[in-house]
Amino acid sequence: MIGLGILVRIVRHLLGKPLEDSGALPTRYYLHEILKSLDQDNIGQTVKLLKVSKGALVDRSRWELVRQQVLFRCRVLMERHGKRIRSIERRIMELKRHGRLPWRWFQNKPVEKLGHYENALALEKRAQALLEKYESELKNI
Amino acid sequence: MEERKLSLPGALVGALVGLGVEIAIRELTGFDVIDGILEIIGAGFGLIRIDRRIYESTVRLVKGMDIQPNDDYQQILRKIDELTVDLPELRESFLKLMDAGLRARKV
Repeated sequence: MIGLGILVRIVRHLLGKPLEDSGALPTRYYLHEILKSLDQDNIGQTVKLLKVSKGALVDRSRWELVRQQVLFRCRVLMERHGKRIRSIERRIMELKRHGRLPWRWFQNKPVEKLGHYENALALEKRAQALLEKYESELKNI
Repeated sequence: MEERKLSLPGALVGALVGLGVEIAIRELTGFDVIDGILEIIGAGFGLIRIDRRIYESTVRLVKGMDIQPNDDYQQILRKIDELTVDLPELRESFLKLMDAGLRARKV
């Protein structure tokens, strides 16, 4: 039995990745890969694998549960990014308000800080937009 | 302690009897015992493995939620409700998990 298990693992390792996009592999293989990607918060990869394996007849209920798990994680991450966006926007507003005070005119630091905050804000917004896209794709699979 | 003796002829006789029984069953019923049992065991292990993996992932999802240290059970439930409005199966899994956790804590 141990030998058989190792053999299956070797075959899966060798053929798994090249055949992954064909959708020809067993649903359980995709479920394991999706859960692995979900552990790493790689939502893009999970969406891709869910799309490839959407025709699953066997393990359909498990597939559906995993899809819901990905959707849930997507929402949790979106909420987290939303909180960060609000916090950064608040900081930017405070900095701008403080920057108008005369004794801060000749200080470089707040301007640098403002740049950092604006970059972070742009990144956070991009991440949230990506997650929104994934969420709508996941709903429509 | 009594010393246990292993008998090689006994093992061979046992193996031959087992083989004879398997061949007899295969001839009489057409059912391949060893392959059938291995398939059933393999499928069983496969099912257990994927279910355990899904369960682990469910636990990780709950742990990964943004829960404040002073949030109580009702607040967490409300949060789960908000996020799983259209995810009935997952919601059920979460509730079962939380119930089991509460029961374990009470015990």
